[in-house]
Amino acid sequence: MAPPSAGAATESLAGLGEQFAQEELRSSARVLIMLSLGVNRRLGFMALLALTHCGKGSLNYHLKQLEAAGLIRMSTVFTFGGPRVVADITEKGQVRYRGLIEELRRLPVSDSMAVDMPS
Amino acid sequence: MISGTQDGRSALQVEAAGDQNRSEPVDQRIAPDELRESARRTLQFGRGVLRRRWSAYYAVWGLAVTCYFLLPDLLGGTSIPFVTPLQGTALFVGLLLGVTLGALTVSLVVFGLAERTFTLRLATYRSNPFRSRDRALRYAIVAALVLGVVILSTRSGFAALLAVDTILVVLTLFLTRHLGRAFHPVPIEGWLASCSFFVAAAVSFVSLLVFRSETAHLWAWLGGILVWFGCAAYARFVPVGNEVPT
Repeated sequence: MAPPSAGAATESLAGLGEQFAQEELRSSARVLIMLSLGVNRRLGFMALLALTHCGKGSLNYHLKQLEAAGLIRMSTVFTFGGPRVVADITEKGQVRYRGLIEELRRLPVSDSMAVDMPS
Repeated sequence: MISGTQDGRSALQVEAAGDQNRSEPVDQRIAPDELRESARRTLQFGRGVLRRRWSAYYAVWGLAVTCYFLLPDLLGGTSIPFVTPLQGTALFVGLLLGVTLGALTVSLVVFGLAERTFTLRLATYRSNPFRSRDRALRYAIVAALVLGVVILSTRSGFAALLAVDTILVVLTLFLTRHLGRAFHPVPIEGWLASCSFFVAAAVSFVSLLVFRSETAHLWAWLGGILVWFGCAAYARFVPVGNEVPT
């Protein structure tokens, strides 16, 4: 894939700025939650705790913000191990997730990424 | 190094550390590199989730292939009381269809997850090692499946068994392709599952074409299935580091 031009990179940064200017994505923890839910569609509260390394209160706060924005839906499901709180991504959340992927794709590749690229 | 803070810590680390001292997290606009770092972390975390999902795939296809090989003998070799031959055939077809539909459903879920992971990886690392191989593999898969189905519907005996082998090899090729797209690197159970089916297929082809033996063919595939069940148990129950909690 050809590296993006300087114009495309500037456009990408502008787009990224727009995305993150919105209240619900003004936190890297919430961006992380959105990316993970975009890939996995549903994750449990414990899995999200392990993912974000947040405390329970902080995670609750982030999830409530995302739910209030209509990007995710929280619910309790019953499993063999007992009731579990899970977060599902909504249609609106999937649109936002695709926007994040698009921004990620348009970001210029840094040297560190080339070094860290898995074989 | 991740930009975003003066001391070099990422915003994620700051937020996590902030939990110890603050009652409510502080929102801050994140830098572009933070997005990439989040994507990288999502991929690392998703690896554990994926391994658990693939364990269901190994188990359900192991069960399906077991049914394909054993159900005809089990149902044909025994006479079930109060069941007419027609009902027996309906039971056989129903069981096979049920198992196949279940396996296909699990496959769709797992392959969907694998594709979404691959899309994120592609956006993060800008590297697609599969582009050149994808088209050739797609043609090979379609050709082998058509050939297998045609032989299976027109021939019986050794030819039919060879067709079954061909279809299973194609399924394994498909599995290997998706494993490669989903994982970097492919975990040990993924390699074992792929290799066991390729070895089973090789042994089966040789036994059918050279020795004309159906027994070796059956044992080869049963060995492959056992490895798949082992892979399913390993991926499900063995701790996978800090990738995902149970």
